[in-house]
Amino acid sequence: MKDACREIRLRFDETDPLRGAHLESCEDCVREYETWKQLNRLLDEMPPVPAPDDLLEAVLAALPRPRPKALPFDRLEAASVVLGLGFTLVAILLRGTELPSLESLFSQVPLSSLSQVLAWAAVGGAIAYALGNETRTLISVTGSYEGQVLRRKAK
Amino acid sequence: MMRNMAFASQHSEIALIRRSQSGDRQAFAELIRCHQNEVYGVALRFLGNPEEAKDVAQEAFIRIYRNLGQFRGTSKFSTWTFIIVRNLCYARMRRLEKDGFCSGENEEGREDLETLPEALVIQRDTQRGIQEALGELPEKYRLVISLFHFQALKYEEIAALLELPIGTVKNRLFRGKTMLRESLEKRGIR
Repeated sequence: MKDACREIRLRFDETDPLRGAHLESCEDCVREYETWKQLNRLLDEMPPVPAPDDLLEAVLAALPRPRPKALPFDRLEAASVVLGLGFTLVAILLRGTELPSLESLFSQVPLSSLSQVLAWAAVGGAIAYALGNETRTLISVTGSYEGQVLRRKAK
Repeated sequence: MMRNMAFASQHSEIALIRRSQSGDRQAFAELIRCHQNEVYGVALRFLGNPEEAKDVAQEAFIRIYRNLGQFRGTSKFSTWTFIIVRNLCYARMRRLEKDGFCSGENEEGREDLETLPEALVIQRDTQRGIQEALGELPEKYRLVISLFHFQALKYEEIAALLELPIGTVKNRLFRGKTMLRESLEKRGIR
């Protein structure tokens, strides 16, 4: 085989502007090119290999679970304030009824009605904040546990 | 028109990658749907065993998900993906060799090829003949032919994947196809 023929045949699978000119003057390469095209046709007609049906499902089950987004601190604080104000409102509405007086809790410290309201708000806020934190911890714990279970199943 | 479609497809892939990078699992599921055949196909070409290929494909997608943050878009996503698959395949092949399993050119390898999904769906004698002839080729030629014709990878992509010069890829493709053609002629397939 001539070097020129070999060079052209090496590039049978490429778009080669020199090929046309060479083929016009080389019958061997014309035959070779026809056979080459036929082989390409046979290869291109081979059926594709599809991925197994359950591959997607298996991958998704084995993916690490995204960490639950923690409540932003300021949002938790705002929720605490709102709940605290709610407590306060209830305290005001129930004033005159048998609302347990904080004065009895802090009997050594005389409290005005304003300071009583503020104290209730603080207590309410603290409770709401503590509850919020507990919930956040709970979400985090259950989230990571669920992730562990899924990973174990995938293995 | 085709260029617009390719651009739109690439654009939507970039959007899917960005969404996946920010933890959107649905977007990542869509990425898997788009690439699972290619990833599985490449793994199968390397390993020659459907079970091993599925296992590696699954592992590859998990690795891709974990490392998506490192994908900067300087190369094609498919190229980046194939390199991950290739590395996993090499590791798996080393492990299989260590454990005494063979794949490729010996009798066991041929039996594996018989069980390929391709072989199961191939009904025509010609296609079965091509499959057998491919199975008899040395691995380095079979891999390049498979990646070029069945995975539709370009020379540059195959070169990057196999860490070979482009010239070597072209030579292997030419040499491999010449051998394949001779083998097919002996089987009466033209």
